[in-house]
Amino acid sequence: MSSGPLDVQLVDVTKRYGELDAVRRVSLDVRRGEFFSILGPSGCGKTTILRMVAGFIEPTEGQILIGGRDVRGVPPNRRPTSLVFQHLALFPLMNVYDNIAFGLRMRGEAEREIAKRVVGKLDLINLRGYDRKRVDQLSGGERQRVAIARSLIIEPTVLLLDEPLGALDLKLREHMKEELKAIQHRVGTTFIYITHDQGEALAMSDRIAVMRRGVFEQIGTPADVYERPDTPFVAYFVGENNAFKGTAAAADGEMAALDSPVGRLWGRNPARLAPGTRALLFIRPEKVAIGAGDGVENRLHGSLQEVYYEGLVVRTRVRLSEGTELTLALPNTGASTLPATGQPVTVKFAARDAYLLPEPSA
Amino acid sequence: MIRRRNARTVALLLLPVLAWVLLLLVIPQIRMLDISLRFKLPVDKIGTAADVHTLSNYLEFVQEPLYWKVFIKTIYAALTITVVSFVIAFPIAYYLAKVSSGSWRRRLLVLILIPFWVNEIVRTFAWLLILTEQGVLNQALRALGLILEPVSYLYRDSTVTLGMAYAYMLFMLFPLYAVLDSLDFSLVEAAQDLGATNLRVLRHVVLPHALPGAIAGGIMVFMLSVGTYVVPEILGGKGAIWFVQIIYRRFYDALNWNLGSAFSFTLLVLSMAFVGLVLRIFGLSVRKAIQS
Amino acid sequence: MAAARLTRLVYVLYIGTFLSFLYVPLLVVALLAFNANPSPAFPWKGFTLGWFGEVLRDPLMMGAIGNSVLVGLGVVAISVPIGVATAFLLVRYDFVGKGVLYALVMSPLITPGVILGVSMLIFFSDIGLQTGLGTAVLGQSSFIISFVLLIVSARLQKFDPALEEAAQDLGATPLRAVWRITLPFLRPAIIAACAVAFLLSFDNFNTTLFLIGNSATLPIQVYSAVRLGLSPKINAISVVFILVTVSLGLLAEFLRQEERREATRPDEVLPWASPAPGTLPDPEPT
Repeated sequence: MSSGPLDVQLVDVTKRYGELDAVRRVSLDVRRGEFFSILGPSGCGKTTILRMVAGFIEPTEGQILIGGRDVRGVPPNRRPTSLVFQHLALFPLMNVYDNIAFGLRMRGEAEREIAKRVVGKLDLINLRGYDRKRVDQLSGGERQRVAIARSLIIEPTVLLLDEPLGALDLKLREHMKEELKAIQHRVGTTFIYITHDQGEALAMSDRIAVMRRGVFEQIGTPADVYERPDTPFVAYFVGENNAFKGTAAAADGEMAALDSPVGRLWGRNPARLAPGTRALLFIRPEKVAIGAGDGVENRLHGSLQEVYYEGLVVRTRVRLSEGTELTLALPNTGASTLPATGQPVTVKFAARDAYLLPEPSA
Repeated sequence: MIRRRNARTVALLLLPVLAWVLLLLVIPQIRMLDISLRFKLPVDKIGTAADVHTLSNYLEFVQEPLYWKVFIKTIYAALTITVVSFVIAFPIAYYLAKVSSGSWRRRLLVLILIPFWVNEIVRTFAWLLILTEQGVLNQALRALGLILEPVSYLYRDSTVTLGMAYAYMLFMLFPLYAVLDSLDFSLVEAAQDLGATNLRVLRHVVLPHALPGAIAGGIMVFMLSVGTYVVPEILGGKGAIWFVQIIYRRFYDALNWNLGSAFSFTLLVLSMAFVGLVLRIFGLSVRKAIQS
Repeated sequence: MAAARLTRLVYVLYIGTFLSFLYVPLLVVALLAFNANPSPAFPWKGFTLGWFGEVLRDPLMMGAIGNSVLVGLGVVAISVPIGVATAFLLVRYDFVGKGVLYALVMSPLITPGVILGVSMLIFFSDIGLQTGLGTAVLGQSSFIISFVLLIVSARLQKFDPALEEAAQDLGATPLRAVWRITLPFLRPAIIAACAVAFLLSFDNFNTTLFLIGNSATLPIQVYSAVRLGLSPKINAISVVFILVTVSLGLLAEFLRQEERREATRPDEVLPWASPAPGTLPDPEPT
């Protein structure tokens, strides 16, 4: 991991509302130039964290440092952050130019200087010539970009983004993911991005924090979080996952077995679970293959239930002997070797692709 | 809704608001109550031992038939006018809201709005011109040969009631229109589709929906009728006395501010009671009625 | 079909009668203002503008018009700022006693004008304030503020507070954010409120009567004239009065329509829309 100056630090930050902890003892280091995402379901506290960094809420306990400075008590208009709101909050009575210029005008910059920089930003977001257009004349994607330009022009230390892609339709969202990443690279500003969509987080981030009920369950790169989840929640929330319930058995260094209703399955044991612990064994759909070949530790028998042709992937569901269903995501290579629905089928997966995690306590 | 814990802003905003509410509303009305509970004294005796609190003004109100009879008459007429305005205005409001449409509706609305903006005094003066002995109505009737001698229409309670209706009826129309406008016509169609006769649709779908508007309008009309001054003064002459005229005369003719205040306070209690009662009966909160 | 047409006919007749009932008296007044008859009655004795001339030459009438305008302006100057402040207070903040305050600020709407006039007359006399134009302004403001409050808060409730937060986030102090973002948003409502406030002030009688002292506003002057005796001069001033109030009313209504139309523009409900097909932006040159 490259180390560098830290732009944002949260140290044991807690936000309490009455009896409820919206955010509990969260710590976080975001490095300069990083695209950092906080991923979690609605209500997990990610918006609260973002608003605390922006300055609209003060933490009940803990410290927030931006650029090394403790910002407790500093109001939002004096923090070196800028927030791109979920619904963008573009000023409806102003045109594009005035929206983007707003922050600079608040600082009292000269109009000539402002004009130069606004034009520069319009170029950056590919909307040259749009300066006189009114907000209601723009499309969703265009508004998105104006909101980003408006926030970037004041050169904040950190750009905070609150689920900005939520309302866009699929194709536009895919496109905007690439654009955002490109903009961030070009400008080099640190981004903190919150979302409940793990596809967005995985695609754009340098690092992700997976959050649930006020705490971070894991912080890591997209690959870390996807391939080596620390907790069952992360395993389920990020991407799709199959899980077998059972008891850990025969722990052998890195690997361990799970005694489950479908038999003994082998997988990695990153948490070093002792035999006898109740555990779950996870295996991603794309790591499961059809066929009875050798050289693979885990083999199961069942019948083919459904086939969903999804273009990129062919998703199938297999019902195993005692009722568990397994989802497979097979690459669409055109070579169709699937048996008919209802037919018996063997599925297999390697032990190093599976992993055991302790069963969550209630 | 922002809920800022910025107490300073709240305090700053409270300043002008409280100044208004306290200095122009609360304190004056408390003072009015206070004066109503005192005797009328010459200036030098005010503040002395003789200046005690007493209910004598209110007793006088209850004991003198002139006073409380007029009070009852005013209330009764106000209620009548309120009900009559509703009956007359409802079909028009319904027509405006549901039957007419587009530019015709807007033009009709403006046509109805225009007399609404004309001042009460001018409108009452108009009726005076028409109803006076040498007035337009008599002239017309004589010209048509229907009567021989001019008839005196003025200086009667019924004339005043007519004048009041003319002045205040439109206050019922607009809230009714607003609330009927918001009625989704598909509800009416659904009811008809389920077999309801028009009368039933009216009773079960339209009227309940119109209720907040009727309440708002009714409160306005009642308030204006009960507080009417100009209309009886102009159309009633010496024959008809109405409540606010009594208040006025206590203040300016008799210079008896104490008695006048007592009457005013009674009127205030009456209005508040009426509003409270109506809202309670129909189970609406103050907020919803105001929004109409 | 025939039933529907019959219903329509009945409606038309009913509304026609209603409208005649509303307009005939006013038309009579207007007509007789041009009648060269010393009495405001028929027969028609020729067309004349003389009565209007008499009005113009009457210092009391003209003075009353002037006073009405002054008082109206004064009322607008006081009511609109206080009304806007009250709107902010009630829409945005919660505090102890808010319910009571809400009831108090709405109470003038259901208080007969005479009571407002009487109570303030007593209070002003207590503190030694002389009745006159100033007290009339105060007296009228006491309830006109409530109307301003209704108009402005209706619009303020539609304001997205995130806009103010965005302004602060970009460097504006809370006060500057309100000044540059919120107040411009409220402008249509504020303008409509000014028109309504002026109209209500111009028209007011019951409250003004107790507080105007020896001066007069137009309604009061007209009323005095009517008490003195019938003369076509009153018709003439009534025509002027009608023209002024109807114009103001039309203006106020027009402004309120504008305001309502702006408030329900689709983009303020849903701040975005998907682009039309085929208008995807070009990918950035890297």
